[in-house]
Amino acid sequence: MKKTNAPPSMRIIFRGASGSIPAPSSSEDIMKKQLAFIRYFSKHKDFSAFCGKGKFDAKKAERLLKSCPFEFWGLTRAIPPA
Amino acid sequence: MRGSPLIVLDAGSGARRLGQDCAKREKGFNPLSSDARHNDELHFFLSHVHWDHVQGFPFFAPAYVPKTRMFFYEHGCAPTAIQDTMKTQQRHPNFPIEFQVLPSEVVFRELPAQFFSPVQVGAAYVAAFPVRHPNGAFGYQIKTDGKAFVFATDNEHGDALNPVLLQAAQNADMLYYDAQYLPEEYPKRINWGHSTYEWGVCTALAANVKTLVLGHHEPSRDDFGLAKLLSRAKGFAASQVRKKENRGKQLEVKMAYDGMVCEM
Repeated sequence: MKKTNAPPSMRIIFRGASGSIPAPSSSEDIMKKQLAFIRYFSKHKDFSAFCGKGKFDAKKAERLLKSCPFEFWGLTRAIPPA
Repeated sequence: MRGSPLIVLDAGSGARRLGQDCAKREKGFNPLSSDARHNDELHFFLSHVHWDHVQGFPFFAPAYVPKTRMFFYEHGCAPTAIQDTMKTQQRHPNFPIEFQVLPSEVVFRELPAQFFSPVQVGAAYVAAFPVRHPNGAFGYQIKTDGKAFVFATDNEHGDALNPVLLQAAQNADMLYYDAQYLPEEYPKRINWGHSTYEWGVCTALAANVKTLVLGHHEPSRDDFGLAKLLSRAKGFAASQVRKKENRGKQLEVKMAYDGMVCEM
């Protein structure tokens, strides 16, 4: 990788990346974001709607998503198996 | 690429956000080119026309801007003409705007029949080579200013290192490689046209590649699974580098994600 201030010969920007997840900067970030997500929602009264403890409730799930205080991503991938 | 019009490899779902990015660029699609002739040009090189590689194009905003000039390259040995696929994809009632009435200029160009014969796109040279995939697919080797990037998605490894891919990737600065399956998953997916990180690492080391980018992720793999895959790939690469035949070699392993930027 180029580490000088000279303009690069190539700048490769991955978009979509064949089904990849959007925009973490490292695998550590992936874990941090997911843990933050789980910590936040595990305290939420509607968490059972998501985590599989109870019957899945789409309306509760949607409400929960809208209430998320930070940007999250990859929801369907982020939820660990119940 | 510096001094070239923007080169686009495949047009899957990521094409939508690429189009949004391009629309925001005031000084032309490629910020690395100061040549005004490149401002409104895009050159598409498609690996193949399976739907996950073309489905984003109808939502590619620059295609709806009259001053945009888009070049599509196709190889004579492909099973179908790219323009047929693009037209079919947007044919009524699949999509409200048909491909042939796009306001932008669309030009189809034939790639040289001989693989590894490059076409020049500004200052860059792009050469096609075949990869192993159902219905056929191509990889691309792009060279400019002494740097080389090799795009080898939708490539299934065989029982041994692929000499064609080794030739393409020889001494490349970066190799994008299909790592959809874990090694233990692959036996159930033989002939599906995808590969594993192990073969990516072995190919990269044999070809003396500097950076391996793993992509074409399995759609059903969750984030934890992807993180584990990357961790395993790095561990495998470290174990391979310690082998006698790889003495002195170094290999950086990355995992592709939407928005990742690599400069060389």
